[in-house]
Amino acid sequence: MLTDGFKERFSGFITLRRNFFRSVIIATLLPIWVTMFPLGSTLAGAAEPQHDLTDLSLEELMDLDVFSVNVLGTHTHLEDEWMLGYQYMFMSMDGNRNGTQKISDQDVLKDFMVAPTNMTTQMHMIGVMHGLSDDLTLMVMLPYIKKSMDHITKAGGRFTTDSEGPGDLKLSATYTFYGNVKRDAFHATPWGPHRLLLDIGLSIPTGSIDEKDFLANPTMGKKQLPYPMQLGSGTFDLSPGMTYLGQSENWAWMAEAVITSRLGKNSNNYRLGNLYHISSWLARKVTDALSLFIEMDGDILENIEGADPALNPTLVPTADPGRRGGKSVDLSVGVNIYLPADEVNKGHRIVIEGGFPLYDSLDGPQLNMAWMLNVGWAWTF
Amino acid sequence: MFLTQTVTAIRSRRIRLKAGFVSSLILFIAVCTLAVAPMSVRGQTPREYQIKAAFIHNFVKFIEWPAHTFPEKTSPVILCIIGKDPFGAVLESMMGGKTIKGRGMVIRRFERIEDLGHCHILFVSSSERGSLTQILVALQGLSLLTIGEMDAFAESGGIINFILKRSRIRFEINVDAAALSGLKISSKLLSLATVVRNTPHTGSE
Ligand SMILES: [Cu+2]
Repeated sequence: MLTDGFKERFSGFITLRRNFFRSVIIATLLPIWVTMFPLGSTLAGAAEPQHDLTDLSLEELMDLDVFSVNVLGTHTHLEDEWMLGYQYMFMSMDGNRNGTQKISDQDVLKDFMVAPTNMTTQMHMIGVMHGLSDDLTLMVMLPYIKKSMDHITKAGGRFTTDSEGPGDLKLSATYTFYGNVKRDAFHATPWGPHRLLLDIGLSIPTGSIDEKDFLANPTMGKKQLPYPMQLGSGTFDLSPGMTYLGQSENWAWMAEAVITSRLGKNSNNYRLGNLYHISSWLARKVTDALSLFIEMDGDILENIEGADPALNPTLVPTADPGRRGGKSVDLSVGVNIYLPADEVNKGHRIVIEGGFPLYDSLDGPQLNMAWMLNVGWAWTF
Repeated sequence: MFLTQTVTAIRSRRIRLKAGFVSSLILFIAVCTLAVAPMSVRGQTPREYQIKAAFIHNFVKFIEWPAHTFPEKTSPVILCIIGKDPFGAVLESMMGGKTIKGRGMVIRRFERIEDLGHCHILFVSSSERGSLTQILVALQGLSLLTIGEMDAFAESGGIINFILKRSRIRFEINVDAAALSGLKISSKLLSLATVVRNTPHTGSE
């Protein structure tokens, strides 16, 4: 019986791996797939009447943008350009999963005293970006995080824990090492310029890892909250990444890979697992002021190394350093609104994005993401 | 036996997984394809060159060529392109059937400067970057509006040079070179341009 269980777990593991990597491959190939469209139509020789620009005056021509689909996520700014950004993120996690299987609260309570039932994370993030040159952009970001988690106990009682405060400060530098939106060599392709960006991020542990709250029994006082309720990693984290950006008149597309690794252990004797992140998006311009996009994200998060001595891993799965890892693929759709000012390339941008999971395989029991909402505002000047 | 069990387990689990994953994937591809379907194929000629073509069309209104360069009052303005043509069919479709100050426009393309015939405007493609100095020397004394899109084109003696400022098109005008060619450029055009003067020693590049 024990061996059967092992076999099933083992075979399940193979399937999960395959599904996960299939999703990862699709997310990576998507930009290439998209690139085929302009190429295909060029080859087919399909021509559409050109929009007549000869009726425009010189002044009007000077107001036209050559590359009119703006980009989101990792991006660069031109020399001397500043950007001030604010982002609000809401994420709802609902129900537990073990591997890819949804499991009930009762299933969790078979092995633990307490089961988490759902969690919300809200994040307010402010950021400043500056183009040091056309090829090098610097960024500083500071989040303010609010978390809330609901639980059910074996005895049937329910309680909620909360944490709130600043998260980890992030610094990053983005360097364009291939391509340049301004350089004419890249204007020759019918599907616009291609760029490769090298990104290096450093996270400074300004977020608390000692958040405490009352648990099921308030008379026992505030207790150390489990790992997912903490606000920071407690370590300096390095996140090198690489981004590919492509643009045509009406389309923009992106593929990116980022690895976040933790440098050393934090003051509570653990380090969060490394995070391997890949994502790709495709944006379609609808009007000069509006574009739609679809995005796919793939993540592999490793388990925590070490353990916070203040946490009891048998009490609740969120306190177990070996139940934090997992793999996920998310899909989101969104809209980008531009409110251009008079000056070149300056103005406001608003992004609204909603996402849901396509695939989850978690080292559970672990809460899984139900949906998320992202609202961002960026002012370039 | 171990193998058959594994295969069965894989199958039963995969069916469940597949249903959710594959259907969401199909939905995703369908959404993308729908978005792509009505897509215009303007991408054939990059937008940059559609705009630059419209600029060239507009320049004609603000530039006066010496009368002797036109055989008749209604003779067309001859626009020549040397090197690799980035405009595709845009110039023909844009200029076709239109007149500017009573003149039509004719487009001619040349591979080498030696083959160049009579022109009013010469667009020097970026492919000719290496031989820019020879081209400009060969054109000296002609009443020809040279237009380029490369660094130092105007400084080297070209008349109008397109530049990209952030994502918009701007242009430089070398007023000395224009005067030497006998072209009259309206003050309106100059007011929108970055004015450049001949550098004392050319060919320093
Ligand atoms: Cu920015």
